[in-house]
Amino acid sequence: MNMLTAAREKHQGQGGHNYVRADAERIPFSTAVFDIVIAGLFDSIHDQASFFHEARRILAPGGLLIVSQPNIHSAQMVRPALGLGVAETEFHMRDGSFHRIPSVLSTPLSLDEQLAASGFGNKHILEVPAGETALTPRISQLVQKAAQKLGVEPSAVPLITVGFAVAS
Amino acid sequence: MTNPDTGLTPAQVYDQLAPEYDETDHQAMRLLEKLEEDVIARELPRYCTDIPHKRIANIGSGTGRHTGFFQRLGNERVYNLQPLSSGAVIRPSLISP
Repeated sequence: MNMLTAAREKHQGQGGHNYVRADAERIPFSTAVFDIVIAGLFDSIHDQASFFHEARRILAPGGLLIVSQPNIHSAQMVRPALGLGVAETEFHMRDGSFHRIPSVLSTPLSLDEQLAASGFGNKHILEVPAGETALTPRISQLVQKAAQKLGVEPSAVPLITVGFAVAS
Repeated sequence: MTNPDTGLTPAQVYDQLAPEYDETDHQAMRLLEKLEEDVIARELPRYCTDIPHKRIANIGSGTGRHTGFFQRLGNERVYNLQPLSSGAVIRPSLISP
């Protein structure tokens, strides 16, 4: 079963959600038709400038863009421990193999600049720590390693970066 | 853009993705998703209200990332886009709002 079929089956009978498969750098929706665009783990999109341009295009003026990605500081420590390059992530394939792809991570500053260059204002970028969230043993081990290198408590290690920006 | 190591295009990779990750990574993904959703739930009221009537595009939804989140906020019409990357083929049966 492919991802699209799995998604549709999973949410069958749960309202009017629509699933489409497309290129994030050429989004097949009309201009200014959405109030909110949310993109989780957008680091796996290669051409982020084109993606931000497209997100701005499909948002109505005043619309909200929400993006998230693995935090760059943690990724720099965790990914090598997983045998990955710092700018690399991997997808799980149906045959059990892994497929590595580039992962373009931003600092809060570079994300802010990218958003501004794409026509977004009122930006708010947060580096989100694990806090008191219960971690899986594997993640907990990696977070402790990152905490040692950063010189902070494990609960203060930033795991993700989340950005909010308004289409101007 | 074809991956030089595997010779696969993004569309070919996408068609071979596993809908569910292995149990350990699946848990890790849910954890990150929960962290994201907590932050979004906290920050969203600063930017907009009336979520049930917002038109939402969810890019990179996978098989449902954030879909349930917006559903719990009363929005039943999220357009979920499973992204590929450069050079992918767009199917002709796309739904457009």
